[in-house]
Amino acid sequence: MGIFDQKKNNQFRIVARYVYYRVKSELTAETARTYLSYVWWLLEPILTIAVFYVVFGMLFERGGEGFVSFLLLGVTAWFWFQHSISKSVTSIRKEARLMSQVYVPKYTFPLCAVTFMLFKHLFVVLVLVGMLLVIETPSVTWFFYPLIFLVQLILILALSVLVAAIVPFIPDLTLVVPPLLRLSLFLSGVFYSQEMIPAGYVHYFRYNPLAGLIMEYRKVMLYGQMPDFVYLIKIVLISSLILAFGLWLLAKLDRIYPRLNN
Amino acid sequence: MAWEHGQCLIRAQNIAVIYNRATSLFRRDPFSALKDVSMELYAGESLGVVGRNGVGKTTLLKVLADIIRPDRGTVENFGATTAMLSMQAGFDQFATGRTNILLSALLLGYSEDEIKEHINDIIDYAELGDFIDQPLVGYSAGMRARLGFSVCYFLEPDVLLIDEALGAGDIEFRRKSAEAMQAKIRSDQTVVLVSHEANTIRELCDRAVWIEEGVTRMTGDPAAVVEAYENFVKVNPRGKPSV
Repeated sequence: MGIFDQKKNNQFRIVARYVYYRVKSELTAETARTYLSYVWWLLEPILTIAVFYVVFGMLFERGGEGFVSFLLLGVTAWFWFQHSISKSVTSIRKEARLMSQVYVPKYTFPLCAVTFMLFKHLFVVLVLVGMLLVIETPSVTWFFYPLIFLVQLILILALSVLVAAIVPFIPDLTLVVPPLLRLSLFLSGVFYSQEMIPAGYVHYFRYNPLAGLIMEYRKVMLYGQMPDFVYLIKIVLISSLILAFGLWLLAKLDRIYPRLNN
Repeated sequence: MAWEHGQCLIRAQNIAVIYNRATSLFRRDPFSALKDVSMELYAGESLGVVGRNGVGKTTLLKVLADIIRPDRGTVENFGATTAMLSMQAGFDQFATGRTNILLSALLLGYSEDEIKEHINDIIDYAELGDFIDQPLVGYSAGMRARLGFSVCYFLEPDVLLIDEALGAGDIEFRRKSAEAMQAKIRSDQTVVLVSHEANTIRELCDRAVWIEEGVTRMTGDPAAVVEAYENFVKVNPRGKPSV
């Protein structure tokens, strides 16, 4: 019979499998409750994007040529960020029952949340790129899109692990995070470009990694410009530090979480 | 792993668990679930833990399962795998019964192949039929209990930790599961059985530990331990009913 080997090398294999089946099950469960089932993975992003297209591209006709693409690149990146963080906030907290029955390495839970949203976001990207192919002229710099995407994934993972680790100790944060995420919508230049900010503030604007990444997406997808590699590397480095701190926190408190809410 | 009969699997020495309940930002309300508990668990035995409600029996199981660690004292596990019987509490409501078996088994450390080998036995034993591919939200409480019991029954960890539940589901299944569990306790399976029902401990266990107010009061022959416990309860009745 199998042995619950808690040695580290084995542990990650167990977690990886658990995450795989758990996310798969969550995705199936979500679609099983609808008539169109798997079609929704594609239909949902199409509808979200269609709303922005209709409102900003057809009704308002604002921002001039290319504003719809400009907007979509920002909106999709922000939605991915926002959904992942919101899902991670309660990821450990809501597993209190499971944790009190069997030992689970706690990083499993934010990892499940991030993986789940990553999968769904891939369909969003599919629709987005399809749409850009139609309304924009493809450029070689489009090949940098996956690179920026990867950097954003690392950023999301780092912040997800961090909030998931802290929230069980300060449950009030579940009420603080949503308004902060909403604030990030307006601070990240989803609706405006860097040029519209007074010169003195651009400096601060660049400190917001989400704003910077949205800007990079637009550079490679709309303006045929090379991404700012130094900036991307900075985000990766800082995110890695945050991620390492978050994982350290989770490891240190691994057997404390099941004691909370007791 | 094969264990020699009588080999020490887990040793707990003078363990204390103090919950620090935060009532507000600046107020902490410390509460000792366990103050000073020492015990050893040997391969093949069934160890009964008696004590009134709220004396820390469940906390002790969590320590033995390495879900939490004690604040004082030491726990040594010499390599035995442990699992709590009441797995159904951790089930995912929106996943199917089959997926829940898989997820639980993975967390207990089984490989996909091993799970595949046992999954049909588990499904048959739980008497769930076609429901096994339905999400758990549609299950009755009895069906859930049956599934939870079957998962732990077939996955056979080295040490099975049982918390007050020697029967699950409807009357029919309760009899079946109680019998199965009793057979398992009497067999070579190492079991820690926590109960306030002195009779169960006396009948099923090889050895017993009595915990009162977070302290081990007595260890040894179940009949003797249970008698001492019952006498104590008679002399020191508590406002709380020991249900």
